[in-house]
Amino acid sequence: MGFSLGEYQDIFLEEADEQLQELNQNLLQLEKDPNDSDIINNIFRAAHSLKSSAAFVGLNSLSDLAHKMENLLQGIRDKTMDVNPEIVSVLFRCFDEISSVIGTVASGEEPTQDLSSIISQIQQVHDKTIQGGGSPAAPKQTQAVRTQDVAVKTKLTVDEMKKIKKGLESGLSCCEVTVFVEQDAMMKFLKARLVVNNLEQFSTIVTTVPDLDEAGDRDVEVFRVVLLTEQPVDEIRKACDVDQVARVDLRKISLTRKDEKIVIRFHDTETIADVEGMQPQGTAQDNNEYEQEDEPERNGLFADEPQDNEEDHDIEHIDISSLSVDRKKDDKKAYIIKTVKVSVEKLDLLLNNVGELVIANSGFYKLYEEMRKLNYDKAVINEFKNRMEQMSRIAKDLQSSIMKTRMVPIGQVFSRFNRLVRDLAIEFDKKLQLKIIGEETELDKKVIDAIGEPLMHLIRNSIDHGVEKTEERRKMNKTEIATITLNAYQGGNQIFVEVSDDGRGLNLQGIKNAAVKRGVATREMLANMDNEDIYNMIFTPGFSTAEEITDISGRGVGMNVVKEIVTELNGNVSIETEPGMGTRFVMAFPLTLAIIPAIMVKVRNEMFAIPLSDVIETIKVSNEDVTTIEGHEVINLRGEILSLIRLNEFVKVESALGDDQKIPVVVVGFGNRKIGMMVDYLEGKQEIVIKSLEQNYRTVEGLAGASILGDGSICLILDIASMINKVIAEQDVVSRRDRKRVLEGKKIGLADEGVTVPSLDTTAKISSPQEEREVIHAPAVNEEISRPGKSAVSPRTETSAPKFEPKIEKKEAEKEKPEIAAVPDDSREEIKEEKIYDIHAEETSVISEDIEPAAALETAARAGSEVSDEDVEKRVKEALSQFKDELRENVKYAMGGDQPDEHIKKAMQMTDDDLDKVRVIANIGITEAAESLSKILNKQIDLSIPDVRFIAVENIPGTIGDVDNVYIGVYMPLVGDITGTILFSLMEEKGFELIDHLYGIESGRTNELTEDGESALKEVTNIIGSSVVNVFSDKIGMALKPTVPTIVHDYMQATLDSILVMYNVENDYALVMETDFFYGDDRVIGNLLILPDAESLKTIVSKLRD
Amino acid sequence: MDLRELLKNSSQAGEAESVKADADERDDAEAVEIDGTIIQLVSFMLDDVEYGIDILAVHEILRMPEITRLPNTPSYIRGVINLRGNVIPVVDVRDRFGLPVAEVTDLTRIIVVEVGDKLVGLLVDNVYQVVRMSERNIDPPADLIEGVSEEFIKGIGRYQKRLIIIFNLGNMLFSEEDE
Repeated sequence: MGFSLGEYQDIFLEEADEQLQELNQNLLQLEKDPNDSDIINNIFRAAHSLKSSAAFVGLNSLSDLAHKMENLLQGIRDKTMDVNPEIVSVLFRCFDEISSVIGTVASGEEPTQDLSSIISQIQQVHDKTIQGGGSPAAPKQTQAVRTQDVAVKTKLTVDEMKKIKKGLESGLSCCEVTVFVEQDAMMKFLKARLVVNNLEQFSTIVTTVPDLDEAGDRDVEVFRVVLLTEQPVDEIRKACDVDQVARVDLRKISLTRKDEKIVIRFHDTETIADVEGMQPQGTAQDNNEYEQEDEPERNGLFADEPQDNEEDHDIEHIDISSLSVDRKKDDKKAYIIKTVKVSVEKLDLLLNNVGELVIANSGFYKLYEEMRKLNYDKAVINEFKNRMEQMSRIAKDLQSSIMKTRMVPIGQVFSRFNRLVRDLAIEFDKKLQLKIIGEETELDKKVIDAIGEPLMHLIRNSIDHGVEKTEERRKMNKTEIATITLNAYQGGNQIFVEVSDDGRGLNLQGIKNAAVKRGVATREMLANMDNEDIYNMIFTPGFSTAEEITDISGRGVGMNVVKEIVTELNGNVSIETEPGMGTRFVMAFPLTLAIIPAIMVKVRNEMFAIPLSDVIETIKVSNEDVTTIEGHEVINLRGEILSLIRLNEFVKVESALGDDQKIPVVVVGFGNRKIGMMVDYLEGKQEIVIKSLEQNYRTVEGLAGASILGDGSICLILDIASMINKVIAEQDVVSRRDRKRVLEGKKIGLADEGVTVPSLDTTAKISSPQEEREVIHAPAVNEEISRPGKSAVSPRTETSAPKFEPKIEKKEAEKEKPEIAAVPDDSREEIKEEKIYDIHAEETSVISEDIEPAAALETAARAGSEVSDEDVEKRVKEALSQFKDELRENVKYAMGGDQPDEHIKKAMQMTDDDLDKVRVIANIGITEAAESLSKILNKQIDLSIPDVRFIAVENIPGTIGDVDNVYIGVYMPLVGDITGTILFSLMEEKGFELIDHLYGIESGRTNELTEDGESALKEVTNIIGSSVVNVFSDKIGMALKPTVPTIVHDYMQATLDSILVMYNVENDYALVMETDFFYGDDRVIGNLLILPDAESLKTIVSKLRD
Repeated sequence: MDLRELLKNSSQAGEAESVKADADERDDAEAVEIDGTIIQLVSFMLDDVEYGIDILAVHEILRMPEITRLPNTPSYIRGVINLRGNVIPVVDVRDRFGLPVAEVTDLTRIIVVEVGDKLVGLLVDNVYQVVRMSERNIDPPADLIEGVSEEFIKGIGRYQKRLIIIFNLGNMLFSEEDE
């Protein structure tokens, strides 16, 4: 058999890979626990399968190697050898060799590795360790005979009979073992030989049928071995436990007396191993039971005293049965998991089609709308709607289940690194342990295939640079054994894969020095960067080797590779590090690669998609804000120079916007770079299916692919990375002079609103979470409520804020927050928001710490020192009025882009103005509530500006608070001109806290809901609810009254359900006001929900319009 | 509609909906006369010159769909279209041949062809008919065709009294210089 690229190559490679994994894995285990026979068996099995499959595809050298390994392992299994480090390391070396051979084959070349040296190494180890005795003698040839041949009675020759008799008399037991090899097994004779070989280790083989030597290489499906042994049946079973042996039957042979003659008696057949698991457990295989008497002519030979061990046999029988059961259970685990291997391409195709189905389905919604307009029969339309929804549900289910088929648990990738960590621990002489968490987390197959390499680099770096030497750790009072942790988990619609160590952390200064030295950045640039950006520089290509930075810092090797691969997979990698405590690299991947969320933008009437993962924020600029540096357009975004691309120029069409119109800018980031993409219109967020252009054409610069929209039209997906690279290539590093000019000179637009103007202390304030929220002091509520400051905290609030006149003394720093608009995905927004906070917090610290005369510092200083207070005030006024306009616009397009809101608006036939009006009233109402609460309780109750929004009822449990938490809810049905319910809900513990406060007892005392507690909460709700309701009825001129409050103590979903069911309300949407209540230092978070039924909400709106 | 299927099934094929076939002048008589390998061509006219594409390469023929412009590509790439979920590029054959641009009319068609493993749409003024001819009637490209560069021509077929320029599809999608 020569080397061939046969049709089984792929299967072989795949299997071999798995087997190697298993071998590595098990050997590591064995190293820890040398006596675990299960592990040894596993190793043995894997090695054996490898041997067979290698031989099958003609890799004889590999097969030989595996065979030698097998011999070695057999010694261990049979306890003739002990596991020692030498054996383990020689085995590891074997695995490496095999791996390299497989690698060569996989790359399509003929493997030329010389395996003889490793083979002789094994031999040496083998010879050295062997304890004599049990060395596997040259295996006797087993036989080749078909089933029917064997079904004939085993005929024993006279000599054999004598042997048996002798053996039995000397206390050995004798039995006949019938081994059935799987019909489709390859090289059956090998199996037979192996079994015999195994049996020989502890028993004397009397005979084999068919005869081994005669059978030669002929295939044997069934063969019998008659043997004498002192070992229990279990041992025989183990010996026969060879890959691809289907069943093992055993018959006891004993001497018995019959008609005064000693005969050899064959007892019932027992199946002691049956991998098919088909036999009823534990039953004897007695259908062709025969009590074979010996041939009469030989009876004379057995003249000695007879021996009847019927009883023994019975005892054995019981043993056998129970063993048999165990065996079958095991087998179920191993064999019943039936899987089908499907190529990823096929899955992709399927997913593609289903994606189309989902998209095509959305066409029905349009049709439905049309039908409604045309006043068709209502019943028909409703039926149509039902069917349509059913279909779309099925399509979505289908889509998600196909997507799931692409998902593979990450465990198999993680476990590979046990070996790497072990090897590196030895190499670097560090004590290490690898901790694996979340191995069951599933990732897209494509990510799984690619993630190995970045993980390897990260682990290497952690071990090489992050983890200290043992002595150093000891000095620092750390555990001697360093821990590398691999963790995978899902969060939102992303999967996170982390590599963390408890080493020394990244050295900021070291990276800075290296960056300067390597010309990656100048001191002045560094001063402008926050720590995160600086850490991220280690991903820069060429930013490498530790030695060239300092000896304690500078991960760099392969980090660029990590970044590249992760980015290629639409992922993101970030660094968290704490000096002396360790470093954590977090890779975030989209849940699936096939469907991505994107921001849709338009240039004239051409639609383009920008993957949401690339979008940092969206802002609006006017033409005056744009400065030109060396022919490139830039703006000053919060003190940072942001290069601009005009998308219309990139796609070569005229912009539809006039000169005096504000231009939406999508700020996109790739790596450490950011650019602003000027577009004509923002169209909102959409889930899109990526189709490659390469499939039928080729890669087009600046495009990542195309996607087909609901109406069948194509939109192009922008490739942000390549666009940014193009910008970088086109424009050289902006000179310092120019940077300064922009930062100082332009006092308009964003520069005005930006954080460059405010003094440092306000910026610092932002970084403190306690300061983030503007607090309304209830007694002075009416004046103070108008602050839009809370927008800074929650992106949603910006929609609630714009109605109010911002107070002049408002902190400037917050002005730019509402600029961050219209990234409609909530969770994402929040992440972005946080990030921006960090940036500010850190910017401040950089500015204040750094001694370098940085541009930003100069600017900041200038802003602070050169400008008089009056000027500042004047500018702030201007900025604020401008800000108000901005905010309005932002609200508009935030609303436009936010699908749920859009949906609600449409359903309610509401306009933005209507919503704003409702919000105004809600705000006033909540203020009233706070005031009256303060009065009644005679306590200073502070409330934050409520975050008011509309949410579809089914989304409330997910949006408000935590699905898994128990809430205390107090609800009051509304009666009057409109109907609905008011629900005030608090997280359980927050509710208890509130009760404590209300009763003026020490916080933490209440831990169950007593009657007193209930009444207190009801009272509070009454106050709050009535205030709000009064405001509503005042403002819209309708009679409206809350009724008696009721307490519910349950999960949010259950609470809502009970309200909806009890009052038979058909609410589609709820008006949600999220409010923080403050008592001194404590904060209690409660949510006030108004659930007007849909009709009532419309009534409110129409009243408001009057 | 799978054109090939249709044509394979019947020698009289060509009445395919989208094939604008003056197919009545289809001549069985000639088909009988000719021997050697018979090939079938989908032919179309551009400025009075008839061009043919081997029918085995033709995937389908479409009426003018909505075309999405593809920026940063050569001008002869008109854009991409959605062919049942496949995004395929459309080559404006006139532009590719350096002929003056023509208006899109009711007769304008996109011939979707398979080139290698890719699907490409060819934007043509019309689809004329399906022609059967013996390979022996095909001559190698000569200098006599004006305008069209040789890289697009596989040969010239003689059919009745007409000359049909047979396409070499391989070079339609990419220019040598942009590889």
